[in-house]
Amino acid sequence: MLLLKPPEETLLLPASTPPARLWQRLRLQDYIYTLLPLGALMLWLFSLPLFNMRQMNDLGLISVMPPSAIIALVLITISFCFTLQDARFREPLILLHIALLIFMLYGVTALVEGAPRFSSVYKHVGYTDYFVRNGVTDPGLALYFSWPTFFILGALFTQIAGFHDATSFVAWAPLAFNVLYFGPLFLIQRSLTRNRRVIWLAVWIFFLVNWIGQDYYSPQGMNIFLYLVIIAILLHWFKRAPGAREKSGNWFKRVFRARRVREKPGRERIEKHRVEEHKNEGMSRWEWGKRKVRWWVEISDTIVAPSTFWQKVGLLCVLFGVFAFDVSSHPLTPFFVLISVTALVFFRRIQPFWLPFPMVIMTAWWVLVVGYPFLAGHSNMVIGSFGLLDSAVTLNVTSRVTGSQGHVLITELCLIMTALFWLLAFLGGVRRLFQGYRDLTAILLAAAPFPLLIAQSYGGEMLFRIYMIALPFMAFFVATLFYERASRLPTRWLTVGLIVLNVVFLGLFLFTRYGNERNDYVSTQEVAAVRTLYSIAPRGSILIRGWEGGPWEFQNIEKYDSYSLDDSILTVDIVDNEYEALNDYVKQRNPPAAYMIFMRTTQASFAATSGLPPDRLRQFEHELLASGDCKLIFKNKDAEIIEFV
Amino acid sequence: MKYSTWLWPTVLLLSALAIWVVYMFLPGSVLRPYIALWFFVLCPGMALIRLLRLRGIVAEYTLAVATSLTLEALIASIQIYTHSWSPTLTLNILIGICVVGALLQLYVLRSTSHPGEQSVITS
Repeated sequence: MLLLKPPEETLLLPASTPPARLWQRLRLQDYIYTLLPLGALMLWLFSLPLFNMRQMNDLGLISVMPPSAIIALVLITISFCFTLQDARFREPLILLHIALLIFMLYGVTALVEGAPRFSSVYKHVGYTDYFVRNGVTDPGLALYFSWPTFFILGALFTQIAGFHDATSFVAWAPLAFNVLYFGPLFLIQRSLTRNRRVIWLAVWIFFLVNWIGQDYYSPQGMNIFLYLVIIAILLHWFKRAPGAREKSGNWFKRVFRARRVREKPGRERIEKHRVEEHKNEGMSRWEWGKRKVRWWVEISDTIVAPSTFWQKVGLLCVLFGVFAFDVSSHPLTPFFVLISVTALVFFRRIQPFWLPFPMVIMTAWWVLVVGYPFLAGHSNMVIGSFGLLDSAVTLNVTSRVTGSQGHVLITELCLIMTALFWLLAFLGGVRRLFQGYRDLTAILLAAAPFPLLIAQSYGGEMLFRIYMIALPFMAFFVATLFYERASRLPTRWLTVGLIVLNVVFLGLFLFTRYGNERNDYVSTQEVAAVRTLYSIAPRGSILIRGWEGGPWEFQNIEKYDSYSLDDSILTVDIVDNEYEALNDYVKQRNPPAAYMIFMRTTQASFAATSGLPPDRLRQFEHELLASGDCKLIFKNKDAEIIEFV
Repeated sequence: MKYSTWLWPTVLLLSALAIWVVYMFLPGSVLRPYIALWFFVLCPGMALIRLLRLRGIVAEYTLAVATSLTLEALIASIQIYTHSWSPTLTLNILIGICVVGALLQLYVLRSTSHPGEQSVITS
């Protein structure tokens, strides 16, 4: 790193390391801060058999989490805070805490649940299965067949690793994705500050407040990683060097703007001095303010990694390769990349200036040419909500606060956690501003995703995506609340504040991240029932599930017409018990066979989100069977299959 | 030759050999998913990224993983769109990239020092 500013915020480390062996340098605290997290891990591992998933209520996983597991998580959080505050800063110990936190928070469901969780995961397994079997794409089937690269990658891995299908490994996707996020996240934080404590605290907070749950086996889970990699490359190697003056060179080098730069390290201090001088020269307050803002915006970041011309060429190749993967695997994330990169270029945070242009061309080409079959049929869905901020807010916030009492509480906690986190980030940003730090890069990247809320509501999920994309930078500002200067040693009150905030975040995380677990949890019995259904249903059959949720469409998706009872196309009014409407629909379609499946998950999902009495769906099933038009052909602990006769 | 110069090329060559052997000759091996995961996530990218001689282990690993996944996704996607889907061919291409990258590392990095060992420019 180029150290252009006096290292006032560089962490105070011992000037010289004593030439002693590692074990001689270890103190009692080092042993404690190693054994505490490992002890917490052991306690947590011993707690795993005590999870009784069938006792779960509307509060989700926390309702069946044994107290020992919660104590283990609190213990590791407190241990992290003490380790971070220790005068002798031990990065390996901090890393140990973060690694264990990721494992405990994101690996828990894979360990306590028998089958992969979350309905959408099964749909994505179905897309992967399609590529494994057919080796071609079919844009008519679903949106993601126009953005298929992630599923193609999944199909490739399934075949090379020798799995029967993707259900063998998708349960570990949240853990794997969060491990992947660590690298670029660390690089990003390191390019924002030299204060090691802020860097590690921001990384810790990122994992502690990532409640959105977009890290399941999905294109967006992978694309968050790709987004972080692109931003990490740009912030780490492509920042405009302070006071850079370019030497003459050939056109190729001019285009890449990767020449060596002559550094003028004192420039920013000189500029600041000039601004202060003007104030003394009788300049009006307004003029002086404007000049100060301009100075604040124009001064480059001081942390830049040195790189040669060919390194930059190589890094640009990696960057555009990663962006090509991004563009071809997800319809939304490229726009987050575009808006962030454009903001950085516009405010002269990074170079070369032309970066957004090829990115726009790549995105436009994919959306308009490859994605055309989807776009043509869904143009209203894509651009219909443009500019409708009211509708976006309703879909993203208001409409979510409905359903059962427990579900409403969880949704409200999600909103509270988001608001609290953003408020703390705002306070951290303001504090840094008054302290004279120029964090324009972090501010731009934290704010850049928000305009997309006006462009698209994304089916009520845009706010989630914005939260996720802004998260690394918001976490940075929250972390800066605790460390004004690294040279100032941590106080006792600061440690208490740090512990309180982290424990609050941890508590909220357990409610928000796994609050809908009752709907998202899938049992092995349900998977077995749906596999049975696929084994008996002839090609062209109509398959209807009781409500949304559960393992669905994970096999032979092109061979069946799959619906849920809540699909508007079926027009079944469940309140008036219109099972005749369902029968009529099936008879009208005249398929080779038609089946309906009721599962534990669909029942839970119905109870949480339909707004109807929880036993209404069960009644509907009984009345359907009593009508004589259907017969029960399969039943296990968690599922029943009914065939239309 | 320095330890850091030959270690990764050796690991990459052995990984390429291991994935080829389990894929071709030991399809039922219990080690196959683990070897595939290791190769899939890191090897092709590391074979190329180390040629850039970047400073910092986190940077190197991050870009190696991103490059590996990108290469695999793009090569397999090209096959899907050209109706020539073949996991075996993709794997062979990836092994080829890995072997060529490892040999290039031995050749290119043999006599040059790592930029990380150069002095850091400070004011």
